[in-house]
Amino acid sequence: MTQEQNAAEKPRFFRDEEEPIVHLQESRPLFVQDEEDDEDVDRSGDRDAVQSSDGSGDSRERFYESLEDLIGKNAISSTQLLSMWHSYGKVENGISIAANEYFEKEEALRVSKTTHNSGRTADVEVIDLSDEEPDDDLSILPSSSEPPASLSNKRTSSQAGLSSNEYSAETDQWSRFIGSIHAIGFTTRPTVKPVPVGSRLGFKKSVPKGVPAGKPLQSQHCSHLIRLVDVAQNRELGRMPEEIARILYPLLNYSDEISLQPFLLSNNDKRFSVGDDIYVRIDCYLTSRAFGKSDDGSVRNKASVINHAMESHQLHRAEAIMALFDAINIKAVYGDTTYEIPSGTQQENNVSSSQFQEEALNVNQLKSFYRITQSAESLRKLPETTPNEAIFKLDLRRYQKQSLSWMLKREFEYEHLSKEATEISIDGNSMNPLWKKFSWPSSSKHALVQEEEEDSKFFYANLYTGEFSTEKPVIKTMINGGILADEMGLGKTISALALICTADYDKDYQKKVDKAKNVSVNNSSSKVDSSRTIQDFTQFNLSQQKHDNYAYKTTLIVVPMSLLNQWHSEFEKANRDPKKRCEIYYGNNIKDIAAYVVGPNAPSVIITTYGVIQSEYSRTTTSGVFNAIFFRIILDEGHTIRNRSTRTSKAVIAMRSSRKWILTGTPIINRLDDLFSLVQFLNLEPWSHINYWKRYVSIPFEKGQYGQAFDVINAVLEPVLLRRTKNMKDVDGKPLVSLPPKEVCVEKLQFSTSENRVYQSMLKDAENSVKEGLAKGDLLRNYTNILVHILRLRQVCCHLDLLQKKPEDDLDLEDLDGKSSQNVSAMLPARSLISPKNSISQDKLNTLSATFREIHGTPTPVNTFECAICTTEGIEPLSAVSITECLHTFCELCLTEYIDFQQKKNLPVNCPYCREPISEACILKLKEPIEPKTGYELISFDSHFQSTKIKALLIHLKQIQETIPGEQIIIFSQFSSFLDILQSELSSHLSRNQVVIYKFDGRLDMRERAKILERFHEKDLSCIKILLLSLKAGGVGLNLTCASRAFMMDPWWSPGMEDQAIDRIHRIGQQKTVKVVRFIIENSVEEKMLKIQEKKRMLGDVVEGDEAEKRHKRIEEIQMLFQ
Amino acid sequence: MQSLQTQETERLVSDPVPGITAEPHDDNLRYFQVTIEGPQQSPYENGIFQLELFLPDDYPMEAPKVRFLTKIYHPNIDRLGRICLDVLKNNWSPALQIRTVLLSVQALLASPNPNDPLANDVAEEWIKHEDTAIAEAKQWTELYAKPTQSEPQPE
Repeated sequence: MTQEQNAAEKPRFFRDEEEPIVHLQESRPLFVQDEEDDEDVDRSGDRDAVQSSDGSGDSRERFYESLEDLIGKNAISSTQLLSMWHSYGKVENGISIAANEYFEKEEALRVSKTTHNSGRTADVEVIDLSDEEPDDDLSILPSSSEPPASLSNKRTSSQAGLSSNEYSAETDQWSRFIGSIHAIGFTTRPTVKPVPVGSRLGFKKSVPKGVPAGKPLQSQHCSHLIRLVDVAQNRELGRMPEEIARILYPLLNYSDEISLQPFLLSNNDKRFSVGDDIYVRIDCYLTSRAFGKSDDGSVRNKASVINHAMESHQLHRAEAIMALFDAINIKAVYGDTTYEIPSGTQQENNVSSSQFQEEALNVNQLKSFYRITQSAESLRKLPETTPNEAIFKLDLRRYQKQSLSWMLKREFEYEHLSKEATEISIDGNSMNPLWKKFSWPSSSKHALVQEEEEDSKFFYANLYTGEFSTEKPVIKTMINGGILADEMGLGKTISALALICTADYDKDYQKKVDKAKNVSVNNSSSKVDSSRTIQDFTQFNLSQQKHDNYAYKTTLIVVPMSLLNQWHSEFEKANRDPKKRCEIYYGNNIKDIAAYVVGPNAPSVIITTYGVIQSEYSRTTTSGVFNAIFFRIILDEGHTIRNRSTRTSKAVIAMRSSRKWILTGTPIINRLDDLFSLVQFLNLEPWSHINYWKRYVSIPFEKGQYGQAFDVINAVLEPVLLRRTKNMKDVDGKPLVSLPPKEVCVEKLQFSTSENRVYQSMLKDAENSVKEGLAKGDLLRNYTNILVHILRLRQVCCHLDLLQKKPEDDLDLEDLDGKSSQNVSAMLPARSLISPKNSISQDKLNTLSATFREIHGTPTPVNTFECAICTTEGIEPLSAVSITECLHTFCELCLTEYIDFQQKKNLPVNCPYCREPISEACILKLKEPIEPKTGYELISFDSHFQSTKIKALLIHLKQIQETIPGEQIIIFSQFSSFLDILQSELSSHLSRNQVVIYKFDGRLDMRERAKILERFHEKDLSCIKILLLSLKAGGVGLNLTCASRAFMMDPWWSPGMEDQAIDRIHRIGQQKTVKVVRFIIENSVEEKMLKIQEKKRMLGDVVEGDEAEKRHKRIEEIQMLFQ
Repeated sequence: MQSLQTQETERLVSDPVPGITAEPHDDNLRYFQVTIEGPQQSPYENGIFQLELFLPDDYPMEAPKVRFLTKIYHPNIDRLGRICLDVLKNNWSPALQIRTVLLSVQALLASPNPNDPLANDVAEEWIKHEDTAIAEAKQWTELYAKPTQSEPQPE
């Protein structure tokens, strides 16, 4: 068969303009009868008769052959042939006219018939001559010479036969071969004579009783439901083996879309008796019906959301098709290489054997989705846009220039700016990854290459929905905006500011406004670009209708409160245009924000906080941010809205603007669903419908079909998300950012005796209650109780004093109500355990003070107190001087360390100096400030509250103080009450004129925060500066690169949180090696938390699936803690 | 505490106790080579005794470990050079230092205490025939602790 013939597969063959091809064909008869004709005794006889009676010879024979080749050999009777010959035989384009007429009739017939494979397909076995030179007219091969092995070659021909046969002028119907299955069935009925090889068989479906047709079977057996039928005899021949039947059976429901054509491959020259093997090849075709009328996947997908009944039907269909694709082993084409199609069945089999690996693997998949598919591409492809120096002061890094291009492109601003015609296509090339590209089987390739367009070499299938398309399913997102998800420290803020400065107001809208003015003032201005008028005008009408309150000049930036001032100062640093103003909207400092931003004095940028948005959402005012439609909204740290049930999230999503951006370094914190809020904010249709999201993301993920879920997410995000990481290389192979190295070390500490005593007693309580919970099986009902237990244990690790504070600042217990906070206090250990009775009476203190004054005389400016242990003279600061009852002086650290050591070894605690027995409860301190009149006065000091961690921290700090003057240090803790303690203890143990301590936590208001950060940033070589930072308030966003040392006082559950915190100092701008010390108490809950962290890190951030899984994980975690 | 130890070491070298030297080892600053001169009017007079001193990790909370390398005939020092001295054991206090420890050792040479013996045979001899014991000690000093001897002779 020739290429021309192959062209017949395409409907256009039959259109009038394609006629020359037919003509060519007619003049070059390349076709011969094959052996099937010999079998068809009756018809051959008929034809012979007709031929002899007419006797017009070769040309008529040629006409028959050509026509039969078009429409199928057995489809047309000899009388019909004859009449056609009479009508069209001598006409130039006779064959095509004849064919047309035939098909018109056939269509009418077909409609009345039931759809039955065997009824409408008549196959022609013709030798495929596509390899032959087209002008080799005379190469007519005898049918006998066809090698039996060339079955595969026949596919094209049979396909052509099918396609022509099924062709309907009305619907442009066609079908195309996609592959075949070889199977060995078995006969159930004997045959009288051998069934000829190559015989067309058929499938007949028998519906079991009680099961409605069309429903997939849950039963194990399908083979009895599908019968192999000899079409010619129209009688049952046999059955298919079970594994094939399982694939075929569901497909029979869709026979109008996928046609299955079985052939007999061998009969051993014998008749069949019951139980014989039947060798069958099943050719599979996709018909044009499968490709549907609409090739736009998204439209159809959307419809399917609405109709749930149809959905399940669709799902079965998809499963059936997936199974078929698996069976015929057709591989998706991805770029130049092929890769395995994701098969649902395969995955399910694997899950049981290696669930864990499966999960981990797919987490990696997600990572690679971030890193490879997206971003590396972007570094190569995206052009760079340098913002105008006149308006933007800062220098952008190359990747930032690229992200600027990308953002402009996403806002459809890029074309306005770009002088060159180079188009960067963001939407155009990204194929919807739900879809896979398949090439039509190669057997027909020879023929296709030359004549066909590139496109028709491939077809596209969505194996998740069972949809097909001949056109590349391209994702089109019409939203203006997206997600800039560069890793922390890559300067998302600057990129966003560059965007704001470059496209600071809605130019189109401005033009409309100007134009409207012009119209009313009658051509007083000539500003309008006439070439754009029509388009502009329509847009303007649209926007005017709903945009009376359109703040087209204003970008609203929503940030966490801690970043409010940082954003403001970054803007000031970046912006050079005096006309652009940036204002903070916080604490009602602007009366009527809606009127303000719509008014003539609208600032370019308004920065506000999530808190403000949330609180305005609850109120109903006519002056709030919700009453304006902003030009652009940018969410910084956009993962803030990840939980869609929170008020903040709802509020943010309800805001209106014409462009929306999300900046976040961690678009996924815990689970895939974190992304949904982002998608919803961006209004990424149709994914922003929760049903749709659940159907394609949540549910597959919960079912363990990670690949599918990730594919969908990839599909959703690819066009709208840009993510680069620090490790990525730019076009020149240089890393995007080279940061100084980061050293994080865990310092393991041991409890002091008194701490250990308290800890052990509390641990016992906690263990008992967990054991009880596990035994009863209601562990999670008592979850808050257990959390409190754990919290208490963690507090002991930090400082015993924390036990007396309310756990108000603990993230775990945020939502505890009053009742459970009672439990919190009830769970405290006996008070005596924490604070042993102080045995020194005031009288005794007075006596001791007098003696002390006698020994040491009047206070001198330079103190002379010596520590007997470390032999330091002049213990600094004075508050560190610890005095025993025998009035010997020591450094506090030395003395407490000594007492601990002795207690741990069960040795007597004696004064190191005079060997008098001493007690830790009887340690004295100097009362400060020292009154020169009265002289030294002693007070008692509860030394057992000294925390191990603070001691260790002090050692580090002293070392830093001695070695690196002017160092800035950050100390993280998640307990703000611990920060309070740290503040007082550090200031009492470090000499005041050399150390400045700042504290930054959630209790500060915005102005105080700004002030503190500003002061901390100032370098002062005369002292070290310490910033006590609450992990919750300062863990995100802040830029603290002035410091290079950090101490993490307590571990947090999620390693990501700690990484974030460390990234406050390890980010762009950091010059020095970053050193971080994490204090962990040995053999405590903290050490186990480290293990949990490790586990989480290994799994990546996407570990949690559904609710049940989470519960299971929580129980596991709790068990781990109490092992 | 590293700084304390360095401080002590510096003081030992810069301001030595008469009759006692202590030098930190080049490779291990916690390890000291010590010499103690035999106190006058003792059987160990004119002898120079080699000792080793090691500061454990928990120093100064824990006592340093001290051992005689030179053979010595003394009721409180056994054949392996181990010393029975209260400040090295129960009576240790972090207020004590290397120098005080070594002074105590020197004092132990001046006044042996056979009632709290470590080397039982020596102590027995010391109680029963103090003269012979002292003569033996002198002889050992002559034999093993002569200043001319460059090499110490451990057991």
